[in-house]
Amino acid sequence: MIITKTSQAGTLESNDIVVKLMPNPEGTIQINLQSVVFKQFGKQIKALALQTLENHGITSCICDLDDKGALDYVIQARIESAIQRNL
Amino acid sequence: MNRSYLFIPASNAGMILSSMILETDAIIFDLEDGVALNQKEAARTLLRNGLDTLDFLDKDIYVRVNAADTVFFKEDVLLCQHPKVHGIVLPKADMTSFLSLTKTLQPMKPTILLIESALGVVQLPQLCQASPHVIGLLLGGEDLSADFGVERTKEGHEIDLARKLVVLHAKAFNLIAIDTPYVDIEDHQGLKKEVRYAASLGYDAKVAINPRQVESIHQALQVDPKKIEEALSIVNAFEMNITQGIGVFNLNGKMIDEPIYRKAKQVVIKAKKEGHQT
Repeated sequence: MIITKTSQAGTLESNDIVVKLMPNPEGTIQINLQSVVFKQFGKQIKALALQTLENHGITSCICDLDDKGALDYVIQARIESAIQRNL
Repeated sequence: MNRSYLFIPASNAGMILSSMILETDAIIFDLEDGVALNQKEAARTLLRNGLDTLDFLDKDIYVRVNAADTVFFKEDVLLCQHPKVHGIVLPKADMTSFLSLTKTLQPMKPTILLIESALGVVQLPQLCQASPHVIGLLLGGEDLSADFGVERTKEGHEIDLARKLVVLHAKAFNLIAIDTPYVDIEDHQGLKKEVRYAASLGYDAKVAINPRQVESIHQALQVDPKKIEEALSIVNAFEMNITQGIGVFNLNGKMIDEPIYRKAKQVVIKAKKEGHQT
């Protein structure tokens, strides 16, 4: 599935994350991450986001993540909500 | 028995996480008033993932779903099938909404009815007997006063009749009676006063809308140590007298009989549960 419009989910409160999905003209998944724990967990968060998007059948999007210390289940929930809002 | 039920908005990731370690006896994850209209689905997704992942230890987990006449009701109720959800809190409970719940949730789960409308109060006798899955009644003072079209005051005289009817029906049908939230979260003395008043009517527990209210609720519901001492002397004296065939006697100028013994015994049992030496 290709993301064709912009959608967003999550908040900037502690332990949460803002996920913004946008169309990607290049036709790939591009993940941009800002995180309070980028140094420690940046790679894992990006990998989790990619895996979650792929699990939902997404093949093309720009995924901006603004993370405030969200745990994995929160990241997954917010990505899922952003996808739902894109349908 | 749970003394406190803490509402946690299901849209708040941080509060869901911290609810694991809070002192409350039970948690009510709120999908209704605590969640903005445009966040309902996202809150449901977040809560489902939280339930899958987090360990809430020995706390009873309830979910307050949206009202039966909303588009969110069915999906909310289906989420309550999650094995970590102990029970459901049904808002604006009346016979119509309860019937909707029984049709949607199969098998049924323990249900606390949120009594917050004049119709709900009037239908209490039917609601209490509607199903063995009904385990408790929760008074909702804010919506109730709105339904009456009256101002909600700290004194609560406008909800007093409903408060008494709710506890009366809870006792008559052996259900848990849970008192309405105290909305001034800074006023701990006022909260304790209201908890003690509700307890004096027979309420078992109180809803908290902020984690800081939980300790005040527990403190206010604790048995007075002086009463434990008095209750123990009544229980000991009665149990000794009854072996000699004496069912009514005088203890320090007070007549003691079976009903007084039973009340004293309840105090002793509650004190033991609180960890007092008896």
